[in-house]
Amino acid sequence: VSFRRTERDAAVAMVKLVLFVAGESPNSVAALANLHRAIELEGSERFELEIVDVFERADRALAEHVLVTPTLIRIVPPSVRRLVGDLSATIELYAFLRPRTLSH
Amino acid sequence: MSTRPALLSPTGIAGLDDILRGGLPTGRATIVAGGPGAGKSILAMQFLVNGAARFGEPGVMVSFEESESSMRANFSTLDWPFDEALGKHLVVIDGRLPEDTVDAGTFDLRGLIAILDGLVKSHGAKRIVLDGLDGLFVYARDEAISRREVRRLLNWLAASDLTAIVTVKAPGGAGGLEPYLEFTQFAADGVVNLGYHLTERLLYRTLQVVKMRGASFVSGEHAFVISRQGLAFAYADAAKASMQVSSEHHATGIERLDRMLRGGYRQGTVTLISGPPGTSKTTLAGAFLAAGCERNQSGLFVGFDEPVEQVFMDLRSVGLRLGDFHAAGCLAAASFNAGFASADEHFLAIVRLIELHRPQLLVIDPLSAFEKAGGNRIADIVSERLVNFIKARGITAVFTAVTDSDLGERESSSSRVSTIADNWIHVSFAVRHGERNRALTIVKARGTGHSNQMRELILSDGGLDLKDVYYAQGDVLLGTARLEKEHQEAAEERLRDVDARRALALLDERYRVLEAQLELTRSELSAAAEERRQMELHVAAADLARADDQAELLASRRADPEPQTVAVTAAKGTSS
Repeated sequence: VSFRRTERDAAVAMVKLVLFVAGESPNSVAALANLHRAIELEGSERFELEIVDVFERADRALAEHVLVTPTLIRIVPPSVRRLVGDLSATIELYAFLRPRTLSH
Repeated sequence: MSTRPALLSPTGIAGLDDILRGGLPTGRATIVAGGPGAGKSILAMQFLVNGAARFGEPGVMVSFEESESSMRANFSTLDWPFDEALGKHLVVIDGRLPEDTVDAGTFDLRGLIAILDGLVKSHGAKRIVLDGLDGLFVYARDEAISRREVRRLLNWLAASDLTAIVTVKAPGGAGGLEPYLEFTQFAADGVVNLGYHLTERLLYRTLQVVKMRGASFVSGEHAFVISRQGLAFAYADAAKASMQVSSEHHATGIERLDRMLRGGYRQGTVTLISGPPGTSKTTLAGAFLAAGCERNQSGLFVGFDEPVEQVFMDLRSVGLRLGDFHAAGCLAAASFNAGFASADEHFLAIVRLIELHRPQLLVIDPLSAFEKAGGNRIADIVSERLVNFIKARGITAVFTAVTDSDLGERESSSSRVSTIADNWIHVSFAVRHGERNRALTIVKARGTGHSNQMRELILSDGGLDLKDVYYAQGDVLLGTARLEKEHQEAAEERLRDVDARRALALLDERYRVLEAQLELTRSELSAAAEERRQMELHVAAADLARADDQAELLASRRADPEPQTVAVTAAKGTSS
């Protein structure tokens, strides 16, 4: 499911994210809420977010080696780093969402 | 958990299924604990590979310690159908977090569980291994989270139909788990400890089944070795062993000796032939094989430090045509260089030969070669295991042992084997008046009214024979009986000396039996102490669980009237 998609400024600042969640588990619910809030503050038009439920797409979890939930992966700009946890660690989350300012 | 008798899933590991009385309880989890290098991963992987290759049960391996490629590399060096099994019947997962993972809050292992759920369904897996569960601690910064996630995995296993092995490192050796992992010993259906200690210069590995819910097992420490074939246990089921012993006898190859032993070597027994070099021990053992081959029985000759061809040529000079029997295929033969490998490795090589040729008769010449390969204690252990192994298969065996002098300083492996062997024949030289004669004595022959008299052993082109010895003035006269009376006193003293040494040997044996009984009682005592300690922990864990339940009850009572509050809190992202 992809949403909050906008073509404007895509060439320069587009950030594509995939958040792996485990159904409605507390950590996953919290991560989704924390991520939405951060995206709103950062400018939602810059972000493309896909949410994958590991229980529905075990194949994708396996392909991306997602052992723990929640896991946030950045596809564009590509990064080998990934964030794990409920994204309550604000500094790590914002650094991850601003790849150009903080060389993440 | 119920305690109904469980179905069993065989591990396919030689001897271990006997110890487990069939295998691991199907659909349940067994914890395998041990120090680093104790063989946990190999045991677990062997269980999976055998499951996939031999029992039609696909498996999944999750390692919390190794990458997929290093697992492949490690296991491909073993003589298993590992590569063939990989893919369709065996899936390997790296359970470690990717290196570039940044911690940003609380997380759980639901991702792994989803992956495993998916793999189990798509591959129809029946077996699973979680290898190095303690590696989870690296993820979860504290013990409470580790404990919670370990519990999550164990609960998932319990709810599944998978037969599981979960390996856990025990830094304090067998049984000494990290405190936060101790509960796993109670949560799991089975607990197996692996350990090792250094004996002489060799590793002596042991396995102990601590518990196995709903299934029986053989208690105590079981020795095993690790080779390219994986783990192998020298365990021989005592019940099986006793079933294999029959009242049938095998010819010794010397008619007179058959009579002395009341029919020959009983089937399924072990006979030790000891004596100093040159006393025809190999010839006696060879005569037994030749007699068996003439009666269409299959034999196996295992020699040390002398090529088989050389042994056969020597035996031809006394009319024993082992070379012909070997060529005809009823006699298998192999020889090893004692110093080239450890006693354990020799043991395994012999076990493999036995499995390959399935002989009815076996000769090891000499068994004392084990000592060259690792020292006295390990030789004792290995010899004992070998005796158990061949007895369990109903093989009739003759071992030779080189001693330095007449019933004097025996090498320890022969002295140990002399205790567990059913028959013990000693051959010695009697030098007198320029004649050097061989004297044969049956020191013991279990379950037979054997003759205790000394006989003279005669070797000729026609073969072997025993002749009565003559007594004169209380001495045993060998050879031409030209003993002169002027040596009477000296001769009498010699006989007394021989008798005393024999009595000493028997006392030694009695002492060892008592010592073994004492050791058994000691280990029973420590097992009882361990059981008590575990029960204490169990009671403590039960108390804790009750406290948890109470806390949960209180929490739910508070939450009931206002479910909205909970949802709002969660949405604010402050949960867990």
